[in-house]
Amino acid sequence: MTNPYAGLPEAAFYRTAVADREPMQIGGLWKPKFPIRPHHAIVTAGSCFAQHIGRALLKNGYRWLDCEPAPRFLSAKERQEFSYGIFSFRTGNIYTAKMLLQWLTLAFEEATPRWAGEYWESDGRYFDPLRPRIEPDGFESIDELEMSRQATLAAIRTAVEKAQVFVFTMGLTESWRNRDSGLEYAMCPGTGAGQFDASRHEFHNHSFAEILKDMRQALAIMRAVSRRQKVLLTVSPVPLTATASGEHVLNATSHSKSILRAVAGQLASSRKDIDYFPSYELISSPPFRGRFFADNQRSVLPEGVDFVMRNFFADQQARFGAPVRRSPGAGRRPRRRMAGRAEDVRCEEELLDAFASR
Amino acid sequence: MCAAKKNCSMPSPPADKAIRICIYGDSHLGCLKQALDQGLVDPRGYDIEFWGADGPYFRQLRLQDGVIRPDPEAEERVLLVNGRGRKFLRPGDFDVMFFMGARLRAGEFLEFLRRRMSRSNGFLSRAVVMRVARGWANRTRSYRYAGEIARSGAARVVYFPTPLPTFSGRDGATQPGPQEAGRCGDVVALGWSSLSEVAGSDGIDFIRQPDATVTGGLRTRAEFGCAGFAEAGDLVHKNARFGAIVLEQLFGVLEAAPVRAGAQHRRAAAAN
Repeated sequence: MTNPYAGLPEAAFYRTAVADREPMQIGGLWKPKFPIRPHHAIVTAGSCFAQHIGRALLKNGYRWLDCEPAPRFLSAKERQEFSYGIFSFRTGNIYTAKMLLQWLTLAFEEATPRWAGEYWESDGRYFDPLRPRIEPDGFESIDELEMSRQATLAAIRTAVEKAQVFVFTMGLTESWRNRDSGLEYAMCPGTGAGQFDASRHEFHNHSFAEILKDMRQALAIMRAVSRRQKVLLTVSPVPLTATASGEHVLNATSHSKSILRAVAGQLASSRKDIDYFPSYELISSPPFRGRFFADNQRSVLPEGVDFVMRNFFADQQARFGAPVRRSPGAGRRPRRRMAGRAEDVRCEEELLDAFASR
Repeated sequence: MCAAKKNCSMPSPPADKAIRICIYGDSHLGCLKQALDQGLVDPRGYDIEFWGADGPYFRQLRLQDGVIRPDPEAEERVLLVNGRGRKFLRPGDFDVMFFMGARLRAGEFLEFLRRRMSRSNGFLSRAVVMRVARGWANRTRSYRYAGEIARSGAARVVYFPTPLPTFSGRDGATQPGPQEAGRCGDVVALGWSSLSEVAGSDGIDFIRQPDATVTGGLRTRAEFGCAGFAEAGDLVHKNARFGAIVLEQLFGVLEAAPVRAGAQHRRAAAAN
């Protein structure tokens, strides 16, 4: 060996792994640490890109857990409108590590934190600062808001208890919080719900150290519930809509994603049960020339999601072999027809008794 | 003269301007017919005509171009129920179309809601319940017909859903304790009010099953079950006393917001 690079595989070199290839032939970015099989119970949460992962897993026959399922009789549009079936529980987007920690604290810690009691009111409707858009028109009362939140917390508990793989997509470093209580909001008050008050609300851009600490605390809560659970981290490739950092939004995006990527890498390199899946790289890297972004240069197109998920399944297969897929509907018992015939006879008798005698 | 007539305190519309009511439905028409035949209600001021068919035939009644027609196999049954030779039902021939039962099994909706809301992760906001109620109601063909008739303005539409199953103590249903009854009661009340609101937005006057006939929120009191219901296992059909209560409810609704006899119901049409 003349130097440490001699004899390294093609994937180690930019020219052979990237520059000489058709972009869509680029692959093998992920060397998964643990198998993720169709029978594994998988939970997805986090930034908006996580919803694509959950949906793709479900479409491919994987056991994606929906721990707060939509009620029957809602249309697909209504399910979407009320944020059912987007993540494994109805939290809406969890953009930051701090928000994940807040949700897990509410779900699993016995004492209710001081910050948990804040609600936003507008025109007689109430909005949950942890998920202001979960009900498009808000809740009709604080009681209703609270009961709905309790249902979501129960769903989180179930999800964490049952999940064999917890997929968390990290989205943002920038956040808004309550100066006094420290409650971190899902979105800046006044942008969609609530009212901004500079004396009460402050901007905060989380540092690497803060995010790492919050993630470690969040993971500790989950680990206390399930020691066998695996965690798969991803970073959302979706750029910031806006920044309050004072920087150009491109710089702010680069700053934010770099920190999130670094935290994910740090966590994945430190524990066997935490892995990083490079969806960010598969969408955002230079060889793809932004082809997976919609015209707004932010939203990820379906072909981008497909590309990411193709890589996900291919890299799993390369490392662990082809999965045995569950056939759709396997294990379901055929539906029994209701005792309709007997009921029909009774209905006939009922009507004949009443009407035949005249 | 029946007790209802003796004690009747409600003013009856003048006989010469009878409100024409078509009672449309399935085998649940039976208890209404019995109530009228037994004189348990005072129908003065109302010209009541039945139109419908029981289960298998009821499924063969179809609304097309504003007229409900039976498939050929159901014609005989429709004529039997109607008794006036009306083979086709034009809602515009009546002032009021009263849907009785007609497969809108409110008990199933309420039970679904109760089960869902009793789960730790099952809470639904009122806004979601409203959407669920609308989705559920519109799965029933008769409800869609009722909405279509209301929108057309052909007649005023009033709907009484399929009565709750009769409490028999044999079907696994138990009387809930006070705490459970309270929780269940809140959910059931939410279910009824959401159905009423949804129907109202569709131009339909919805009559929920009166509390006096209900036990445990989701069952009809045994005293209103059809004759021998427990032995026959017929928890579905109700007796004449129940029918009388339903008709009194209908008359109450019509008196609270009177319908002009002989005039087509234009409220919904005007709103559209």
